[in-house]
Amino acid sequence: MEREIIENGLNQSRRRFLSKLSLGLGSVALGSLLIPDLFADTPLADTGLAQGLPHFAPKAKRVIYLFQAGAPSQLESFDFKPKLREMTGQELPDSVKGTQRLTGMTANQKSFPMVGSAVDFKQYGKANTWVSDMFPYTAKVVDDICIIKSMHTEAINHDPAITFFETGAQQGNRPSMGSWVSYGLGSENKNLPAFCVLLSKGRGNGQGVYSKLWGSGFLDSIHQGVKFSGGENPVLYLNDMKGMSRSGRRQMLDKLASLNEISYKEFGDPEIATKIQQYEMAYRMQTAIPEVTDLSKEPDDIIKLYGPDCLVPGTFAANALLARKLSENGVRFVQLYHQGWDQHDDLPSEMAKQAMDVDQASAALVTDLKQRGMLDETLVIWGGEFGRTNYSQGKMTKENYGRDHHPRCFSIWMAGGGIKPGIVYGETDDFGYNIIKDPVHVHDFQATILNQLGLDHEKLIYKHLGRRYRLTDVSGSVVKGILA
Amino acid sequence: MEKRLRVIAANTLIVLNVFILFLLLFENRLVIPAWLQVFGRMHPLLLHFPLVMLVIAMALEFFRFPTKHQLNEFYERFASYLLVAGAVLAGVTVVMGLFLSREEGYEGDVLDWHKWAGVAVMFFSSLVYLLRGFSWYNRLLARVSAVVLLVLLLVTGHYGAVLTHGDDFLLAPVMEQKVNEPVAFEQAEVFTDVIQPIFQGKCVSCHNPSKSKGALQLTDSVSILKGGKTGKLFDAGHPELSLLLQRIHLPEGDKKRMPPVGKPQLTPTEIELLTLWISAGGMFSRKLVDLPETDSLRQLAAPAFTSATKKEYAFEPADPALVKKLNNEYRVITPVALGSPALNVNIFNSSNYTSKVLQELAPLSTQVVSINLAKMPVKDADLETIGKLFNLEVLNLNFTGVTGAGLKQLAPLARLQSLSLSGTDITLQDLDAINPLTQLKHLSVWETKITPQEIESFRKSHPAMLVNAGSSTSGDLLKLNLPQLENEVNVFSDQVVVKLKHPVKAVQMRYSVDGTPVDSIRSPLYEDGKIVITKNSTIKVRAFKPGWIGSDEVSYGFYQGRFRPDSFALLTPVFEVYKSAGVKTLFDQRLGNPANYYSGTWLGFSRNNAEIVMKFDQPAAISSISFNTYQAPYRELFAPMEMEVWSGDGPGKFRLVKTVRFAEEKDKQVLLLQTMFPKTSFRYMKLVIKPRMVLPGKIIPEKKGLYPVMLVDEILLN
Repeated sequence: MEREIIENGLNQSRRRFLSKLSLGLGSVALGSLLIPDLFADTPLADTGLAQGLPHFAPKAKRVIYLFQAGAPSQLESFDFKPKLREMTGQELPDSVKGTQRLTGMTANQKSFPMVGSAVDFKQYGKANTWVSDMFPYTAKVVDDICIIKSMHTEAINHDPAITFFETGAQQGNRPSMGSWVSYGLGSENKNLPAFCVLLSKGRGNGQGVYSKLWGSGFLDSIHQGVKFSGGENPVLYLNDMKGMSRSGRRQMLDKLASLNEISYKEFGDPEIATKIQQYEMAYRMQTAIPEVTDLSKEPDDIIKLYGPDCLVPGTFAANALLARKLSENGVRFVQLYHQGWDQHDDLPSEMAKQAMDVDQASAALVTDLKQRGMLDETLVIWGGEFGRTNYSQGKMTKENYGRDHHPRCFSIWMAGGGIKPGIVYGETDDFGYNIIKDPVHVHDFQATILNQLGLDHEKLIYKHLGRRYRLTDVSGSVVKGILA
Repeated sequence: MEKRLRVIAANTLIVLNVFILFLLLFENRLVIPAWLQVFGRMHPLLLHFPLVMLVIAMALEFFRFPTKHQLNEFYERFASYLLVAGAVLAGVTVVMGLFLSREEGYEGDVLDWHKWAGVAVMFFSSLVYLLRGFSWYNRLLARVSAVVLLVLLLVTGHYGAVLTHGDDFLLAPVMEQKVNEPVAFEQAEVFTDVIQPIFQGKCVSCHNPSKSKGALQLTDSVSILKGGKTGKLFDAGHPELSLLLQRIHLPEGDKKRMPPVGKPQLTPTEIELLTLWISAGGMFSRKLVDLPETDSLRQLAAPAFTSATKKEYAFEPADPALVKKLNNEYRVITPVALGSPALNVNIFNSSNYTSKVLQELAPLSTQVVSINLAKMPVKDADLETIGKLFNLEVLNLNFTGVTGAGLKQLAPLARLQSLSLSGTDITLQDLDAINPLTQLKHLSVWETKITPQEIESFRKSHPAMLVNAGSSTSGDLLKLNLPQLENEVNVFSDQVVVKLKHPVKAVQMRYSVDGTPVDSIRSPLYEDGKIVITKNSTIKVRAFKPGWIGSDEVSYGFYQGRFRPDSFALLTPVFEVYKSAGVKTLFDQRLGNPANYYSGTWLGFSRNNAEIVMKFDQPAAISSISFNTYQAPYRELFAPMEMEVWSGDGPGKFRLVKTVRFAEEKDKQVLLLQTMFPKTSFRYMKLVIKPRMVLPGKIIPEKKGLYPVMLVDEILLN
């Protein structure tokens, strides 16, 4: 054997060495062409990035996401299409419609009559931004928000679309955005969960939202969203039962923790460690939550700002106010869902009711954060999971029509957190059907949110079942044009 | 034949040389006709041929003199032909080049260098060709000639390339990083760092001192102001009159469009920046940061610069162990970002707050740059502790207990940029205490004792400061929301006390029970326990409060159901979509929600009867049955058609009491269906409610396979 090794060594002639060398150099050069970062410094993630700290100085510390589940129509809110109104009743040209998938609800429709907004638009703010009459309060804060008219998504039905927005994948086994943020930045206030979820329901047809939307997927379950209850007590079972003193509770938890530690040592299951932490947090929440959720000390000015409904638990207004208070107390990610935006029929009147539910409180949140000096560090997002078609679903009259799901363009708005205020980003065509300028994919949107929080979406990764996962899957780039 | 060709070539060479000499002598008087311009413009096309030929010829020349090559006839002839062909073509190229150089836009040092080097190539290659046949032409001469000609070619080529592509074209990719030093936003100048780079990238290769097409140079502010042949480049403040923008906006086919087709085009953002720059008067020495924050130019240009928040802190980081020790659930200390020595401090949970929370931060007095104490019971005495955190930039004292007396303690905070005092008891006079804070840029003072007028005057005296006075809504007129019913059930047996509440504090509620509309004057005022109801009634309520618009009227119905069965059962299946809480839904003393058919308060049946059996422990003397139904034909919800009432004294011994056919009533969504019959006493009762079995009218394709659904709720027995 030894002889063969020596012989092999002797066979390495100068010519052979050089020819091999050139091949090697060639492939190195090719490699550097294909992967520009190949010889750059090792990415942070591979070096074991310290979790719980931003990758770079962040613009935003927290996020409040006012999710409008069911998909509000962009054509009756922020994407003003006067041409479409003129063309009402005409057939949508095939050249505009293209060949993309339609939902089963309208795919078999014989005709696709275009329908313009039944509600009027007016211009507001320094940039003369068009906003529909359904959103008078949002119109007043238009100088503080950035409207993106060129969002587009991949999913066509509610559940996959919301899941895509929240987790970056349509299937629903991934961690949600709030969980990623909790994982990336940790909790600011250890007395409260880093990720809270508040639900409300409008009068319209409500599609469900499911707990997978705030699940932690393969991340440690400490990062999952905590859903608050819509009743008088936002967090249930927080009060000690009669006869249980605080010190007694403490002793009980200490004993329980020591027992849990024993089983943790035995099994090494990280979920046991999580459990211990959650008990501790619940103990601290016993004093923290009443302080945060107490609305009785809010001055009249604030009540008027959000509208009197903010005192009715479970309404969007109450949740918006609570979101501000949670955010103020260091909750990283407050996720609101307001359901009922799915206007397949009777859109003008149904959508107006939905808008009434959320308009004042959404605008109030921006104003309130601003006056508290928190808007700079809090990113507020308002929007649904996709848009609605420019053609009518079902029967159509001037005042009454419906719109089907439309993933190819829709509008959302963002405010604060280092987003450029008072601008409109992206454009759609005169039909309101396709994007013609600056498209923003859901992954771009997610990358931007993480970016504002000081996280690089390509570095915030978690290895699971042999592959690295990130919120933006394998695509997405930060939307530079909306950054202040 | 071959000899003839050689003679022709040699003669052409001489003619060309003479012609070029002539051209050079009378260069300044030359006027090139249009057709010759075409010939001239072929210069960049042709030049590659002589270039390559001469390079090869010189390589052959260099190795010509080892005797074996000299004796090789092919080698010798090939070298000679190549040289003469190269020299002739070089001559033609030079002529073309001279013609081209007469066109506008070519001048300056680079052109001169290129011209003379090119002419030198021509002369020298002719010379070599003529001399290389002589016997005294030896190896040394051959080598020197080859090297000299190659150097000349290199020089010519280089300057030619500089003319076409601009300076530094060759090395730009490797030198780029050095050139584009990131400029901090604060340092960036409008012209130097925003506008000039656009010119540099897209215009200067044709508009520079060596090649100034249209006599225009865009390399510095002087030449930009001067403009070109057609006139001034821009009219400050009038973008629509500016030549620069006119040329940019010409259609792509237009000859005068800039940049010309084929060259790198301006991006929409770049055009926007140029337009804004001209509208603003074409600034040359202003900083971006001096423009107002709302300025479009500033906003558009800002993303290109390193973020203003990317601050470098010069101080040493704190001991990580110490930071970790001081960190707890109620005092969170975090670095500003990964690797930054600066620290943010957040204090939470007022019940855990004591002065010690701040005092313990003393070892970190250098590193703490921001501290948030909002809503903590901070006292004036604590401000002295805060005053020692000398690098502090952001201090949030909103809704704390600090007063004007304590603010003086903050004077040492020379770097403080943002101070929030909203929700405290400070007055305008107290703000004098912050005058020493020269760096202060943001001040928040809403919900304090400072009046709006005082804030206005303060703003005037402190123009550089952004004063946050909040958003007062006290003048806004808002409508109150609806009063709420506190009673959990709205079905009663004998009597019920109606309890109302309203989420807004100090609201008056007025009501009526007799169906009259409620107003703010005549209708009785609600008080606890005042409304007692003993028969089916509808209560109308409105809420009022000074400074608010009165609420809408809301109605709450109360229904009497004197008898409740002691047990009940359903004999037929329910429709899964509206199964609610099963048969219990019908007896839960809560009426189906009139506004919401999927609220879980209605029980649905489809394609089968609803058969309900009730048992009473004591014989019940019942004379009427009523229940609600919800109809919405577009959701396939239809009222029942018919009901049979059966009664008896044992489970198997029912006899028919009454059959009733319900009349259609289309305009109401919720219908109360009532049946009366002679009062009898019994212990068992059975109801058979029959729904519509098929959809009425013609079945349209979308509704194919759908069947009517009947929704019922709350069976009231009297």
